[in-house]
Amino acid sequence: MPATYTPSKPDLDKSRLHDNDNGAGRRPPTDKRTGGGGEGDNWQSRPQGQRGPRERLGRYRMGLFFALAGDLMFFIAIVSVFFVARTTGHFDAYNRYINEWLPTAIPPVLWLNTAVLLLSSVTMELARRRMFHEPDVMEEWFGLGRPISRRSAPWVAATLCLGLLFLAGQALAWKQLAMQRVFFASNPSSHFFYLITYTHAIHLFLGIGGLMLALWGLYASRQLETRQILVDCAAWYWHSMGVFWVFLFLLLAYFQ
Amino acid sequence: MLSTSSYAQGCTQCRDNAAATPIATQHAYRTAILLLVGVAFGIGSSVVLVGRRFR
Repeated sequence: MPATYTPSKPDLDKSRLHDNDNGAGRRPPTDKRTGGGGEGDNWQSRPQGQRGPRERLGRYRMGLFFALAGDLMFFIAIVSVFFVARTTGHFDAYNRYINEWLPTAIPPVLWLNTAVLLLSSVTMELARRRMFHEPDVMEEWFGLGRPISRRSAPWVAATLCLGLLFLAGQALAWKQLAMQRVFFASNPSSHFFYLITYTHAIHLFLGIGGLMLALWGLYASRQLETRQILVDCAAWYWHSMGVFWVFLFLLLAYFQ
Repeated sequence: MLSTSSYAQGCTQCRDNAAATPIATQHAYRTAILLLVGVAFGIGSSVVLVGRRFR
């Protein structure tokens, strides 16, 4: 019979005094509390700002939505000026009212670009959902590897590629217009076409920066919640840029 | 303070300019104002609703 050692109660108490172990197992090396209603673990009763990962995610989301609200107002301001400029003219020397607005024919490649951007939104949503997929989260919580990063990263990378493809398509559209001698200052209509597509492309560049950061975070960050926040915020930003583009594209295609 | 004359004090020049434009331009101004006000109101309402929901 193998030798076993069964500690007596005083022995147990003595050792527990030093390592704060209540006998239910030690805490893992990283903080993996869930914020549930377990013993002394009800994070909702804690002060604001210390209520766990869900609160942290909500805070980052809120910050992003405020930034996006500012962005939305920026684009709406451009669209408002677009509507006014479309009908505004000037009086010439003969007191005739001249409206110089000539609609700019949008390059057909923009339709393809729109499809690519919508597809990238789908891949980004798949990546975001992967980050919150419960079985994977539990697997990681139990310390069985990093399935979340492994399964989400390809979708983030796919989104990044599609985003770059969209920007390449936009560059192609600008080149096609330039070949038709349609430039920024050619006409009020072309002015708005370039203004809208340039500003959206700049915003998409920022989104690509966010995607690269999320991709880097998926490999570099040890904390699950940090990775979730990075991908979640990048996804919401990306979706917003997709919605903004659809809105702006419809404006350029049908409201000139 | 809210009489018509005092209401127009601040921007009579703007009003005259707008009145001198064609009907289509005046319509465009109204559309633009409605668009700006509508979106701003929507954002404000959303912030209030979300703030109350997650208070």
